[in-house]
Amino acid sequence: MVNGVDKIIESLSSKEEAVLKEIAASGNQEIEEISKKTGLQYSDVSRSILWLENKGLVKTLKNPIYSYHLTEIGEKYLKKGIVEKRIFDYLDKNNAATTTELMEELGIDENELRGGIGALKNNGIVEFGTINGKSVLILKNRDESKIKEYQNALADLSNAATSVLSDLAKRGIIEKKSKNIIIASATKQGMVVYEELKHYGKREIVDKLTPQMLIGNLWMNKKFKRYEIKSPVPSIVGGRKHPLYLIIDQVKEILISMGFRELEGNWIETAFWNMDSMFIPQNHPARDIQDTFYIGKEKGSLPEDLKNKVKLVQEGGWDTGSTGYMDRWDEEEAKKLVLRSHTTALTFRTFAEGISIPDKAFTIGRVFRNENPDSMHMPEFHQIEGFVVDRDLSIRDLIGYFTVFYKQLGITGLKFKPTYNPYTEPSMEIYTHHFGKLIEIGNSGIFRPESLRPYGIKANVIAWGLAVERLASIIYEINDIRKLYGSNSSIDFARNYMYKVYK
Amino acid sequence: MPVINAEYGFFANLLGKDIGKDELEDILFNYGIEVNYEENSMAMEITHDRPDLLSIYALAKAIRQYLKIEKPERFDDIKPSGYEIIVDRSVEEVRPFIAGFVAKDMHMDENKVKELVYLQEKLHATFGSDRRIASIGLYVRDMIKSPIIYKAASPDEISFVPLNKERKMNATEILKNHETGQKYGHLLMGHKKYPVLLEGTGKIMSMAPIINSNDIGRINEDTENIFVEITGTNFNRVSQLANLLAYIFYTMGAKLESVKVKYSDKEVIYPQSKEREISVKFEKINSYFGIKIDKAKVRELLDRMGYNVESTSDDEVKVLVPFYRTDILHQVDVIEDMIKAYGLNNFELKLPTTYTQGKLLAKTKVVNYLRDLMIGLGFNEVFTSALSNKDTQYSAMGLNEKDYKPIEVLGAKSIDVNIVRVSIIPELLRLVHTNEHIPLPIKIFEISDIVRHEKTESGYKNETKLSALIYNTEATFTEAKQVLDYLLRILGINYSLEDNNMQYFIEGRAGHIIVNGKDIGELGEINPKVLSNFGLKAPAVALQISIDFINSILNKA
Repeated sequence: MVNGVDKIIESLSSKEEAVLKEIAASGNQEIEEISKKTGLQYSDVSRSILWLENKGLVKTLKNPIYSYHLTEIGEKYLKKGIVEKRIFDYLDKNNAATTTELMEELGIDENELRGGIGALKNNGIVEFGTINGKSVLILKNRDESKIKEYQNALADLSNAATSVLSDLAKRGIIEKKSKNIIIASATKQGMVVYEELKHYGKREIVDKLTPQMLIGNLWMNKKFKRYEIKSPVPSIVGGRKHPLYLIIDQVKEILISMGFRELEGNWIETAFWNMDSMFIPQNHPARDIQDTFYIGKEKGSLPEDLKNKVKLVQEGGWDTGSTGYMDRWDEEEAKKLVLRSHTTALTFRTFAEGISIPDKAFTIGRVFRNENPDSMHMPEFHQIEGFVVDRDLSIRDLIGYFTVFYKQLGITGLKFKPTYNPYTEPSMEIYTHHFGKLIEIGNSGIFRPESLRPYGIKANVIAWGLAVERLASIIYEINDIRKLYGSNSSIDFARNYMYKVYK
Repeated sequence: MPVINAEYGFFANLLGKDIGKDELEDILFNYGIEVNYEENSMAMEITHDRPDLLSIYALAKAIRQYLKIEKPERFDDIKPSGYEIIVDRSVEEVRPFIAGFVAKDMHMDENKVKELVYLQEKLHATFGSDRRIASIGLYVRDMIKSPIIYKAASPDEISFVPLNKERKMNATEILKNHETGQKYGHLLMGHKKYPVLLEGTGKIMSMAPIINSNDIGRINEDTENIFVEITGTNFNRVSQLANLLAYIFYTMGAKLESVKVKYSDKEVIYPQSKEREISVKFEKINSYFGIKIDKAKVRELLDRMGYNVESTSDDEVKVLVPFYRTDILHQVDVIEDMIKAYGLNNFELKLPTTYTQGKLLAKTKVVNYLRDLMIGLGFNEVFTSALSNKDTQYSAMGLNEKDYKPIEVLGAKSIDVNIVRVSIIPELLRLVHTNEHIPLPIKIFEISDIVRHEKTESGYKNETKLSALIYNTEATFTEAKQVLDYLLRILGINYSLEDNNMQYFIEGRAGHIIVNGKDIGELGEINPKVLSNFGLKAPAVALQISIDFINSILNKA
């Protein structure tokens, strides 16, 4: 069993021990002095004092010490003589001089001149007079003693009178600097340890265990220096997943657990797949260049058979019982190339390839909208697209899927709002609370009969597009998504974001 | 989405019911309208499918029905106004269609005048596609004699005092000097003759779709009777706009009277207030609701959404679609309205029952495995932009647009965007520049897509790449090659390196990665010129590998 004092002693490095002994033996000490007496480097002493202070053995007192130093002008005056002395000498030889003459002859500027004349006038040595109509400076009194006192002060600031120093400082010839001197003294505990150390005799302390020591069994019967395990260490960073990719991983895991298969698609699509194929009318405002990114002036090609079916259903509803949009459907408009504005493009490609009933599929993909980046919006973001095909799916199933899905991400208390999508009916937005406000986290619905007709799908299909970045903002409590992702985002955030447990 | 604004007090007054702000917000939310309050001002987002709700008066009526304060109405007995519009064939080229009606006894006040201004603005921008497809003109009825002639005239024949001006201007002057003319003049570009309306005594009422005349076409608080016309390029849209506008005037308190439009081959009377019949099957209602809804409940839900019912049988209800609704294409549209009335937040959820097997893409598994390996090597995963610009992807990299055709993005609002990225490495360099203040080394990677030219329907295809960058006071080719060597060793893929002379690398310190004779990626020390282009002050080494290729090897059948 090691008692408190012994434990402390075991934690002392040899340097700390030397420093403590010195401080305890001689009372209050400055670092410099301790350094001299122990033969240790200044930096070693100061570090040891810090450790000893952490261990409660030493206390320190910071004494500010003021000292005066010559400024650049001060250095010049020290060499060439203080300016009033030089003016005095000049006048001593020439009796009188104009200010211009003084500045030229002595090589000084107006400020220096003003300072010099001021000092001379204060001591009644010079005065202004007029000779030949010119204003000149005239020597009135040849008592140099005051001037000399200032000149001498420059050479030995430490012995100068306080009033002189403050005058010189005002004139910018010297400046005042302060410095903290650390004075260390032993605490009560420090004295106890110091006394105890006397009984220890010479200690053999091992700082680091080395292979040599192991080979030669040199560590035996030696004490290891005890570490201050509570003291802070420099932080490190490791490789880790990006928070947004991590959320995508977690979402994938949830969807796989709910029985969804994964799909992937391309960023550039014809407008046909992005809009027309799912019964978005050609006059829909989302097709505007203000909302959707178009690629170059090129056009793509359309699938022949499907194109005709889409035309039928768009113009007149085909045989779905719908009126359709009662407007001409222009195939050239559908050939334009866009950056997909939603992942629903991929869902309809999947329908075109053929699906079986039942089926459940998802994709998490990047989508693009012509937005100016701000704290809530980016021109590119991610959607969790999902669909379920089965007989007898209702609005209650849709609500059920969201409730189960979001619960696993710790998001509950969903609110649903009716909305309008050209390709779903009913359509439903999903909301949750974030920073005390209702925010939209997804859009969903049951695909319209007109949307499904070209693909011959007879069952109900429920589908959704959920916002990934909004989820990330909620989970990581971020209020500016520009920090989160993109080529101008923060690597620091990606290195240090906190792990979140979903309840 | 279009937004309409109202004062809470005024709106509540129109509702004629004492409703608190929060309760009102809730009701509107359940109706599909998001409200933002700023003190007592309300901003309400109306979905694109409901232009008939773009007036605060019509919205208030809809909510009164929703709250069962009012029942749906019928419009069977709209009397003729005695006004006719005769369409001259000369408009066929430029703006062939017109519709009109009369709104009497408006009891105008300041609010109504304001409302008419905003309403036209909103309807023009949305339903009228910025006046291109349809536009509205309002006139003081008492200053107009029938019949009205709608014809196209040459610009020098058209001369009148346009709204808010004091002197006569001809058509050319209006397009050049009048604010509205400058804004919408492009709609008449390329036409030799412009559409005008003349009233019975020959006075010009307006030049459509640009501007009304200053006297006949000025509506103010003293205007009791209004003549409304809609011109446009699409017959359906013109008719729909006339109908929904007539309804909105009705909700403002006007008495409607019809106007006959005479084309050379047909006559149409507006508003077309006859309701279209649509059959809604009970089986469909139950299937969408996921519960059985009885006949009485169906009737109640329809009532609350403004539908009259023609008849009900055992298996269906014949619903009359209000003449102002433009969005009802199919019975599902009626069912959705019933769901709104029932309240989305009143449904009991049904837990998922459809059984299917969940499955990740084979590629995703490879990608995840590689991400784990990279993270094990101490790399931080990052997330860069797919939208980029020529400065980043081309100029800074020393890449020539002729070497690889840029994929241009048109009209981006963000000044940072004009192309889609063709490589991730420049984005990593851009990211490092943004983060230069953080402690070194910066070791980052991303597995994501670029787009390349390919023979597909669109002419483009995504390709998944692993891209990594080490940025440090010392960053050597060896470090990058060690990473490559480690990854491919673990995946069991043999590779060789060949000289790479791309200008963004230091010559002699870069390689193409060759697997089975194919170039699957590259690595090298970044050229100091490129580093300086990105404003970087330390060396960097980069690696990029095609994951699609790796996946094709690993998942070969």
